[in-house]
Amino acid sequence: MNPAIEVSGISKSYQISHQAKPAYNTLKDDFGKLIRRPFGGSPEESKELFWALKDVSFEVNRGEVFGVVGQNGSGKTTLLKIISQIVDPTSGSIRLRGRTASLLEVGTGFHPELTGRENIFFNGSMLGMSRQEIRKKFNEIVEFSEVEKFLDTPVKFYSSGMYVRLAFSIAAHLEPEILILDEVLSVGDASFQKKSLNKIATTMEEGRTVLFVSHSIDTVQSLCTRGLLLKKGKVKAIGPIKNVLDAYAGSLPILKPEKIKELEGVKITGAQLTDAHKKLTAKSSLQGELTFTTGRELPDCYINLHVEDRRGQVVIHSRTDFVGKNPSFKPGTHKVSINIPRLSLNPGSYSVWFRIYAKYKDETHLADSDRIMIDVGGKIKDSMSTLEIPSSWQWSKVDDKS
Amino acid sequence: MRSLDDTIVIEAGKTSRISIKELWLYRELFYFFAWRDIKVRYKQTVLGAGWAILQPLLAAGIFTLFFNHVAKISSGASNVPYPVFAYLGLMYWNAFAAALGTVSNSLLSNSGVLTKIYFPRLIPPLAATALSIVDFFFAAIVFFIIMLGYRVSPGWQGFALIIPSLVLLTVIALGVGLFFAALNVKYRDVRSALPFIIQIWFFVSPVIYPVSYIPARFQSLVYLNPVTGAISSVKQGLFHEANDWHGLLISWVVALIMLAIGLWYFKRTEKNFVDII
Repeated sequence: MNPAIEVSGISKSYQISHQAKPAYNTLKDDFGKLIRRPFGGSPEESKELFWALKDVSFEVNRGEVFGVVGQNGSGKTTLLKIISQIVDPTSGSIRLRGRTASLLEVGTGFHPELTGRENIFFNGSMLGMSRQEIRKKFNEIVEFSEVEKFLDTPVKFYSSGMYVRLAFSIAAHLEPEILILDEVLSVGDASFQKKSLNKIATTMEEGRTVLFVSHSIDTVQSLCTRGLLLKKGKVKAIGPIKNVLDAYAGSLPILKPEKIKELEGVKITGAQLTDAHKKLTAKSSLQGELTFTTGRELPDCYINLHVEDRRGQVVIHSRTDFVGKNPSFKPGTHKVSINIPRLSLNPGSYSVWFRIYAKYKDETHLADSDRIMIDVGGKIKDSMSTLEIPSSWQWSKVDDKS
Repeated sequence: MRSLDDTIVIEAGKTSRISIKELWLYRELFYFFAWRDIKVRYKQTVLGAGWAILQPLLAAGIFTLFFNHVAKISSGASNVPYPVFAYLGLMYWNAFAAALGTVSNSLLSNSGVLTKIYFPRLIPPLAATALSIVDFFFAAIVFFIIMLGYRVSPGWQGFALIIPSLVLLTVIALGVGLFFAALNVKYRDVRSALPFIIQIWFFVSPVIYPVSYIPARFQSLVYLNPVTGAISSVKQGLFHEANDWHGLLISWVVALIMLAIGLWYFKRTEKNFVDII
């Protein structure tokens, strides 16, 4: 069977002029240009092509839930807009086999002056539902949205929560064969979000093809089977969702504290974990090694090791002064190693990185290593925590009744 | 769910034709756009549709006072009272000017939707004509009351021309409006220039004065302004004057050329709307 979505060689470029100017012109600008340079070309402005997407190809099979991840500005939304026929690609082609609906925003076309009831019809029609379909699902939509009481109130009087719930309920009742979703789930209160996720999950069980874009690694992981990672408009990884999310987590830049400058004259040449390739569990030990070259003396260095989970939360942090004394270094190449006798992490993917803090001219500067990805396995499932701390349980009978 | 075919093919640089089939598929959305505009227009107003009547009524009153009584402009050869004459012209003119304005702004005012959902880009401008048509019918009811009040007995030919003239004006408003709507996406000057253009157009069209007031040397050109054909043909028919069928034909041809140019420019630029809006 042919894939439901077939994207081949899609690129999209935008002209960016280096004069700070709005995207639209005024006639004066173009007339002015015409008079100054009647035969085209304008040397006074340097124009540049910006590739929002470059040669993106992938296929999504029927019934598959496909996730697209990437940082802000990686081209995710542009890709969705091209697939949704809103933006025209610069080159390449796309085939969509099946009735398609896309949801790039909840409540598109909601009019503040119209009532909830009226907006259900307008928005539903906009998303591709027929009047009959909307009528058929009307009660279900209203019930799902929990706004029955305010159905005949203009939505401008709605609280933002009610607004989003109504908008999402309409969207959740779409029944296309191919559904294109942008991070719309990141709206509303937590319990409604969960309800919506469940609703989407059940529609997915009905064999619908879904293309889903999100920042939320958790949501992507729980919904998608395969996916792709975009970085600066190019495909960086494609395949099973776990690999894609690992690549995504590994490609995330390390957050730097504000106002702290890069440590000059120091070059980190290597960061390794001796056991990174082995099967790790909570009980494993972890040995790390950092090599760097410094051109000047570094008195009183703080060497840090961080372990982050996939959400970017630091779960382990060790620093030289926490457990002893800070080292000092003379110019030359140095090696620093750390031993963690028990990793104490529940199963999952983590990234490990080193950071050096050093004083320079009375200011603290820093240098970071790259991320090293590790995979922790083990038997524990359904743990609510990231850390696996050794613990023991005991029980005994305390009364005398027999 | 609506769907054209089971397979959608998106290819770079493919200029789309006007697909009647696709527009038909989206007819409900067209209906909803029009319905929304009409609903929103009359929400939170006290007079509601009364404005559709009051606008030409007040304007006709003012023009009667200043043009008829002060400047001594009359309804022309016919012995039709000037207020009836002016109201008829203004009722058509208002429908035309409102349609031209809303069509020209239809893309900008729907930019939030255009950048989020796909539908044929022709739908908002097409639907934007609906409101002025509805308003026209309210105003037309009052016109017949006024005619009765002034004891003017209308000619049957005029009756037959009431709807065709509205259609002609809608075609002109759509043609020019589509061009402006597309231009408006790139050049925001349109927004500022439009009221001015509409005002000039009003004075060069025989709305509040008869065609015969136009100097003889321009007489052969008056129907090149298709608004002339639309408004004066109804006036001639209703007020028992000789119909200038030749002029009406010229106006129709010009209007259709305008529509063709408007559509052509709109389709040519529609792929870039979202990139620059």
